[in-house]
Amino acid sequence: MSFRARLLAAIVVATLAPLVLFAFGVRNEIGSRLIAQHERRIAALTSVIEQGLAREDRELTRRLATLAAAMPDDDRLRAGVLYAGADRRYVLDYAAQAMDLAGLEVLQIQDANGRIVSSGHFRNDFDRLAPELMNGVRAAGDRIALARLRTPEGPVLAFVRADSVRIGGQQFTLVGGMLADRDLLGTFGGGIDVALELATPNDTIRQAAAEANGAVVREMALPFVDGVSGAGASTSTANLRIMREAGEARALQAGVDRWFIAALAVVTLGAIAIGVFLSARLSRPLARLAHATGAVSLEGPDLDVGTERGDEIGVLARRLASMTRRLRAGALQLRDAERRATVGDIARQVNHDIKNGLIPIRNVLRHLTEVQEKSPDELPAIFAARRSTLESSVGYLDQLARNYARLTPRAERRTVDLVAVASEVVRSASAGGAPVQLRSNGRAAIHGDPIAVRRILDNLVRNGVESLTSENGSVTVGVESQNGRVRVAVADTGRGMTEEELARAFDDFHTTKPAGTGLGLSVVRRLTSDLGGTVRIESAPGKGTTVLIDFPSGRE
Amino acid sequence: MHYERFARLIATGTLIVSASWACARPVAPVVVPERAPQDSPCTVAAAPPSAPETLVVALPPARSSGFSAPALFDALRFEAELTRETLVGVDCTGAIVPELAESWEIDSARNRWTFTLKDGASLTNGDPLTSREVFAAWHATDLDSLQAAVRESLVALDARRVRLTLPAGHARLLGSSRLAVLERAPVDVPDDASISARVAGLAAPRLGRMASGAPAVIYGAISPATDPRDLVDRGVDILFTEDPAAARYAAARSEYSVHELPPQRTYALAIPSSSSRDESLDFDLDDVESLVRDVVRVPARPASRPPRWKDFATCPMSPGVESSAQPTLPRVAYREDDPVARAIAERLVSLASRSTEGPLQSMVQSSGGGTLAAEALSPGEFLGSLREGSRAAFVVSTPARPLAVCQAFANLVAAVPWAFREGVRGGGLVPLIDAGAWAIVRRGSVGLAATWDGTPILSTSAVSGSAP
Repeated sequence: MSFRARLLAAIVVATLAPLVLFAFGVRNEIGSRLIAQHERRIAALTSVIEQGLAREDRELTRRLATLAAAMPDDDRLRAGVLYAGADRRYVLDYAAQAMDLAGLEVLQIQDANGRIVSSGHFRNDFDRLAPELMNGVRAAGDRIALARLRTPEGPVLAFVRADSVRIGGQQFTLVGGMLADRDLLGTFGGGIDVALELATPNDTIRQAAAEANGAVVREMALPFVDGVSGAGASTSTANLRIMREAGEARALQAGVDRWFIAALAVVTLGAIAIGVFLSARLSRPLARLAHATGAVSLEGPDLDVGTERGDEIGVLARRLASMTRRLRAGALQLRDAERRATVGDIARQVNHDIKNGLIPIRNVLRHLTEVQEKSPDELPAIFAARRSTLESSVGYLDQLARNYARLTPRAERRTVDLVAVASEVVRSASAGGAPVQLRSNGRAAIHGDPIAVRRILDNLVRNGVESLTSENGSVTVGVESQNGRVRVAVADTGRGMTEEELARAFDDFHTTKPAGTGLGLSVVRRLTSDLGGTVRIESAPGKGTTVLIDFPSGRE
Repeated sequence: MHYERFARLIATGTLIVSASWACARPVAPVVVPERAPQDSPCTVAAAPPSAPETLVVALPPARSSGFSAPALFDALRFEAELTRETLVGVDCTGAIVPELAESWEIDSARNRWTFTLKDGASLTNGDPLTSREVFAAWHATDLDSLQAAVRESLVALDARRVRLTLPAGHARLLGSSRLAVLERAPVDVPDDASISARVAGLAAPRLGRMASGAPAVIYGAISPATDPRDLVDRGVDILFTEDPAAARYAAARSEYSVHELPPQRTYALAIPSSSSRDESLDFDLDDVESLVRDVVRVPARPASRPPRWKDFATCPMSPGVESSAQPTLPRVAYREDDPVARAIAERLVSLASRSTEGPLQSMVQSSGGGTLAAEALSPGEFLGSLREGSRAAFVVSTPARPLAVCQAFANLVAAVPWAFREGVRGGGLVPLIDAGAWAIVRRGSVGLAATWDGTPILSTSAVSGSAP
């Protein structure tokens, strides 16, 4: 798993864990409070429904009592019920009018035998014997009853009460009430949270909002009278149930859960987004550093990974860069040393080969000299005899020179920014604590081998630093471009050189340092020459030394 | 003595000559019937000795049209009687009475009728009425097939005599307003404050005239928002109504008399499951009496038996439906805009719940059993269900005594096809009651008589019937 992935995981976990715990706690608390509030509401609604039913009961009783009180005062009704044929239509129409005036929805007037004298809800059902209805409702006593009644359009359910009235010595029973339909159930109360269900042996009526499988909160038994089945029907029981919407509590909890899940999802997404952002920001410098480290080449430019940072990454980057520079310098030195070793080997080989080539020439010359001294007359003959030896040796040396020329590597030639190379050299030297500084008037480019340029500057700066005799000394590398040429000046404030030392400064193996190889300036000169430039030295004892190199300007 | 003997001889001789003359002629003697006297059985309300100049007549509110338009008072026929004149009229006993024709001869062998136009009869512009006008009037109107055949047989014998061929038993056809010769088109009521007060409560009142010299008649339908009792309070001369409350109220007013008009509608029960039997089902007479007495709130009487559609034997009958009706619902259906039908249906439902046998129970069993219930249907639904015979029973109404009997019969066959098939005429149709409306007449205003189909005609002491 990458550092970034681990960082992301850590941030997400660290952010989510406390939030999830908090969210669960809040969810549980809210849920429990809502449920408790819901329960209290259910209880209040149940009470409202019970009061509504009681109110309906009282109203029915009052209306029937009012009607029963008014009936004996109606002379036309009296004449109609007492005397056959008299005003019969008035009697038949009476219940319908009385029902409307009393605000009832069902009303039936029956004589002592149960014969229907007048019916408001079924006007033309007169003269039918229906004692079971009035007997059943009377048997309910002080309680409101539920009755199944006939109408022209079919049976209906109604909450009914009974009352009695005497007209002319004859007993009449009034059975009146309100239709037990959804509209009436709705007037009792309830609503969204609770609903009413009326269950009879024949049917079940529910409020529109009631569910078939709701939970029963309260159940009230009511006397049920079936006035449709005919004579012999007994009174049974119907149940008025107050139902709690089974889904309401679940809906409440589901609502809380939905919001909880939504909030959790938002928080999770936010945590992931923040984690991605932070992990990217934190790991990018390291990734860049790792990438740059992977691209480090001893021949390439110095490592640059934003060493302006002041934090640990910046310190790491700078130390890595410094280490890289030291490695490069060491590699350069090693390469140099190897090259010198190789040069030494080659030099010894060349020396050996040249000696081999020179020895026959020297022997011939000694013979000819001896012959010239002792027998000058024989010199032409001896020269002629020994001439082939000379020519052979010369040919050998010529061939040797050609062979050694083939060993020279081809140098890379491209546009080199001298200021950049000088900056690297100065930085590298400064990293080691040397008082080296750079001065330039802008970008200066030449066309050549950057390695060669680097070797030149390294050698000159090292020489300059090594020549310093006090802590206040300094080495200044100047690069300026003017008039189509680029001048590099490496000036130190060291001990300087005498004329004799200056004359021999570029000699191979000439050195004034105890551990020096004496090849530094010779290499500088050779490399400068390869680059098409010139080098000279200005120095005086006690006044420092300035090495001036002029290169032709290179186009980029 | 000689004088007496001579008179006796003359009388006997005259008698012999007359008898000989009657036997010698193959045609019936000239009929010159007299006008119906005031106290005839067709008199609904006696005409007062004098009549006002203008009469205000209120008609029941209009109802929806369609087969068996359930109105118990046909306002269109009243208007036709008021504004149109035919050759002859038909009174409530079925007798032919003169209108524009003063006399007629009948050739029974050839079913030919020769009418003589009234001397002095004139058009509205004063021109004399001739046989040419009879021709023109009959050819300018749409007639049913039988009436059209009569029209085709019309021949002008001279300026005052026309002859036509009329199938036996269809003489009453001549009283139909379709065969009107003259029409006194009604006009708008003039804008007069006194008139406006009297016609308040009438929708679109029109001004007509009974006959020349007779009072002007302003008539119109009662506005839907008007209580008929308000018209009584405002002194309307005649109020035709089906509202029992208005009749009851007017009966309590001494200046008004309430009269039951002859029934215009017959209510019958159509039972699809019994349609294969060409015989009427019998309902308990007490139940029918109860319908008349207690259930319906309009003037009614038990329907005449046998049913009138049995009398339509001479009318052509369409094939009817190929398959029998199959009721599927235990319902007694009625038109929702017919309160009489509703009351009958409800009573039948109540009666069915009390018995375990009888025509009602068999009707319920044939429709799948269950509890019989009443069902209100819109006019369109009712007609469609009736044709299909999809209910246990239907409460239908037909014209009680139509003048154009074959047209009425054709309408009945079209509406209840399953009752008329394979030679069955009216199987499953059980007549129950004949129902009509009330005429509330302001005493001393006008008299009323009835025609064969129950249409009231206004009459004064100077004018009996609508003929001048």
